[in-house]
Amino acid sequence: MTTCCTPTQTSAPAEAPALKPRFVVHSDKENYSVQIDLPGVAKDGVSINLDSNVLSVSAKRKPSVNPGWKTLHRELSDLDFLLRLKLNVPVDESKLTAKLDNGVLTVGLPVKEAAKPRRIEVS
Amino acid sequence: MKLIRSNPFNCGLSRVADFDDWFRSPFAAFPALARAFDPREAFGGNVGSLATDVHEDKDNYFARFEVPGVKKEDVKVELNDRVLTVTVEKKEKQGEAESSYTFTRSISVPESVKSDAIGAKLEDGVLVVTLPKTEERKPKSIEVL
Repeated sequence: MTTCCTPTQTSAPAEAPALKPRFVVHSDKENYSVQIDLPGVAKDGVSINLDSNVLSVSAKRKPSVNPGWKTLHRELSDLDFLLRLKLNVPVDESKLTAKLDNGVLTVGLPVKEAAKPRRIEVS
Repeated sequence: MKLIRSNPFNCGLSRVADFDDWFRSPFAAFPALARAFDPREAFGGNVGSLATDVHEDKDNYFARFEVPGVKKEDVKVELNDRVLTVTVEKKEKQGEAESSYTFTRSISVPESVKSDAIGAKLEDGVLVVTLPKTEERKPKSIEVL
């Protein structure tokens, strides 16, 4: 998983502007895991999609401001999140896992058996 | 309510009398200029600093911080002499390796905040600090007799 495409490169023109979240990719022989920072997003606001070799994660924020509040100062963005990652390793689609914890989404991508490195004994 | 970044370089420029005033005329005292001379901003933004949103309603001020991946026990909220300081520690563990980052932000709060009734709530990576206003700061409606 080395290549990533930014939302602007691949999104259809009709799509709403979105923020690319901060993310980290860890890997070992059997698994890739992507940790994505999604502050202010509830579990039901996340949708994860694997289409051929592109993993897309889109996340909707919960409303951050109550209707009666008056804003005095703003530094944080309230755009929704969109992240697209191109996978260069075949992953096992049926075994994808995703967990949202404290605003961090962890997506587990198990590598397909066929793509794992194999050791061949010389006889 | 006014916000300050504790920085010796721009204390002269960013000392705006009141946050409300600053909001009405954001270029009073040239905060943009101050930012250009802020070494932290010049080197890639808020390194180790937390961004914040401040809102108010009738009874409270609310300060929101985005702290994804931070656990409740790693958040410290302190009020000291009208300065609210939020410090969070983010611990990342990957196999054997463990790393930790600290982020902090100080906000100066009006005198009219009830310092003993401040509340903080962490949900889905967002910390909301509630600062209740004292009675005299709340809008009062006066009945005409």
